[in-house]
Amino acid sequence: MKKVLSTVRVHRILWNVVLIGVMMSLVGTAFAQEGGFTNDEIAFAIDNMMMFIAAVLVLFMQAGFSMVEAGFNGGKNTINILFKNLMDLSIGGVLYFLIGYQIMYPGDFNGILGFGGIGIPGQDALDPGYYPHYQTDFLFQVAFAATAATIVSGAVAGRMQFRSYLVYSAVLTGLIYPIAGSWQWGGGWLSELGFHDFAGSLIVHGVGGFAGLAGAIVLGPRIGKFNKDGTANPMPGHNITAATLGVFILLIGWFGFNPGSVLAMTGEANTIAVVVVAVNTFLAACTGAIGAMMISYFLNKGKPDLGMALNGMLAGLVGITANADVVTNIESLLIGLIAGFLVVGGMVLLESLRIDDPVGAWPVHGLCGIWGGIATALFGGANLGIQLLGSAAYSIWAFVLMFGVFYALKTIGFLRVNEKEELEGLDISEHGAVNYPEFGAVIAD
Amino acid sequence: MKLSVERNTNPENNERIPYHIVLEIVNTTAEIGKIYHIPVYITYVGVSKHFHVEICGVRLNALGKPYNLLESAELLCRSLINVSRFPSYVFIARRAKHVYPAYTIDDEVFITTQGGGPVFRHVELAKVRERLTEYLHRIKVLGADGKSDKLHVRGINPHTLGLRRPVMYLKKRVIGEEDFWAPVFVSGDGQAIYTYAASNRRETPIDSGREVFRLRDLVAAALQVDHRLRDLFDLRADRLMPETWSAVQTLLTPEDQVMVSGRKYPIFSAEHNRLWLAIEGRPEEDRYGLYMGSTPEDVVARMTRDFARRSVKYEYEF
Repeated sequence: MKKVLSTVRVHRILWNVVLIGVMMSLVGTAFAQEGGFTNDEIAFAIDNMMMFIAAVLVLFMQAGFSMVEAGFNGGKNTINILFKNLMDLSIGGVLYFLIGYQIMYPGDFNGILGFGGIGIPGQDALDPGYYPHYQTDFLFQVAFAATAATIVSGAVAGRMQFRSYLVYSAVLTGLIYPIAGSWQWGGGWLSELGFHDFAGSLIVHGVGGFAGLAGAIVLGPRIGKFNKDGTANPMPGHNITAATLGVFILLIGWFGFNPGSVLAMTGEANTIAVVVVAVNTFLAACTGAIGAMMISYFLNKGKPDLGMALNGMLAGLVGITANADVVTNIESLLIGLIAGFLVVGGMVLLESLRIDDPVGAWPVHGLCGIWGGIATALFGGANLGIQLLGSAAYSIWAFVLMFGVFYALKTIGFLRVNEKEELEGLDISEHGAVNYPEFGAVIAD
Repeated sequence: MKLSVERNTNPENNERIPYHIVLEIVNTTAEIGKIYHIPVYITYVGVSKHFHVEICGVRLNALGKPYNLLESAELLCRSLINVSRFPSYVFIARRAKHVYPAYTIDDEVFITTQGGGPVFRHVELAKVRERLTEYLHRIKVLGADGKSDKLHVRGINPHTLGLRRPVMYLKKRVIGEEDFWAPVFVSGDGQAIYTYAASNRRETPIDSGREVFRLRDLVAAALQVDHRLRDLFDLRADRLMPETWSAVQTLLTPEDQVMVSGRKYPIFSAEHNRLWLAIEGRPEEDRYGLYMGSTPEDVVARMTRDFARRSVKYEYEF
């Protein structure tokens, strides 16, 4: 009886396969006969579709960042963190459309700062002209801009005023990130020197990570994070499940971030580049998590820390982002592994300096962003001096400017919430809402 | 968890404690299968009966019948279980009327704070207390920083969930050096005394009072290896409970009397003149402090320095 059933099932599957094949060949014939599209037009469509899917994947990373940041922080700040992520995309999206996109891609300019005009160029031209289309490219690039901005949200979590965060977000996505991007992707001075940052280890993650570091330093630590003797207390997140889901979402999103940065899929070379970049990205993520797990295993006396391993996966992804197109699979394993080691070291370093970065934004994005830049020289054949110069330029640019912005906000009393507000949580003090109203049991009193 | 009330059949105390709440852990926690017998005390106000229990330092009251305690006791017990276990210690802020449960995992003590606040963890209770105190001052639960309202530590009885006072403290207070403070408790089986020092549990079997000297020696040696103690006798046993002091007293040989801060104190030798001791009685607490040294002069010098540090103007004569 069982055998008869399985035979029937196999027959049904085979019939379905044959039917689908026949239908596809019919559709293909009709398409070729009626459309009369050229190979270039079909390639244009496929490449734009790939870019569009990649853009959507990168936009989906916003969900990942939201989950990671909310999960790694206390439940009393959840609404605030999610709101900041939403506004990074919304305010950042509008500003990047209005000025950011054409600051980043100004056309001919002096290599340091340029502006091509408001909005997206070439909207009226139905002719493809630019490859891929500006509209597709904008969607892809705005998702990158939002990524750079949202990295900071985790570093300043739990003590920053919402209104000051909006100011920061606008400055970063409207000016700091696009100018940084123009130096390389817009054909600016670093591009002229031969600097290589394939998908933005430094341009996106380094800028976000160092902006976050500036925020964390100017804001100061959360209440209770450090003891008088300089030791740090753990402040566990409220939902490690959400944080883990967030990391997996980011991993998925990174398949838009890196392979999408090939900017085309058609043609043998592009197709191979996309899949090699995808595999390298995946491998570095895996070894990043393994590296961080190994280090945390030794640091925690045989008890590996999931939070570290999650950040290790992100570190591996950041590390490979600059060079996924120029390294081998084996090299990507090494790059990820070292990034995994570095992220734990970065967290220990921050704690020893009494800098409170609740989600490890700087170790993951800043430190491993620099590692990505250097690894491009060590493994990918880029010039080490120029890679170091570019790494320094992006780090200093983001850190110094954002330090100034945060410091100015602090000076006018705009930056940090007061102690009472911090202790009761930013969800109540900043938004008048409670995310988990049912969890009100008093335990200690 | 399952809670029920049963009569106390022990004739020695069943007038004062007529019932026990029997708490059985049946759900999946680290304590599964464990049964606690929580004493239910009775008081009479006029003709009405008042029942009360104390669970991990939190007192619950009920009127009329002991069963009326069950609901609130269950709620309290559920809220006390954290990291899958009951607390092993509590820190009590008397003035603020707060109790902070501390949990032990392996050899580390944990205190979690509400609302995504910090977690304080360390092998030494003293470190956890120090950090929690600092935090509570900062968030103004204990008042302004550096003022009053110390956190008092109590152990949790592993059979009744009642409070246990430390049998003594080991202390080092030397001007210009980092303080050391460690409460000493009787182990769960009642056979040993223990404390945590220099990142490890230090334990010695109870032996008619000798355990006080042995544990002090053990901890002093460990602290010296850890570079936290220069002179072994800088560590002293302080605030001994009366029972502990009674046991220690039988091991001492009276030698002489010495003058410290204008008062006379008796000096004792112990362990074949290896140790010299002077005793400071604290009748208001019913506790006893030991000053130890290698010679009588050494003891006097230590007492003098400590009295000066504490600005003691008048000490009770022992």
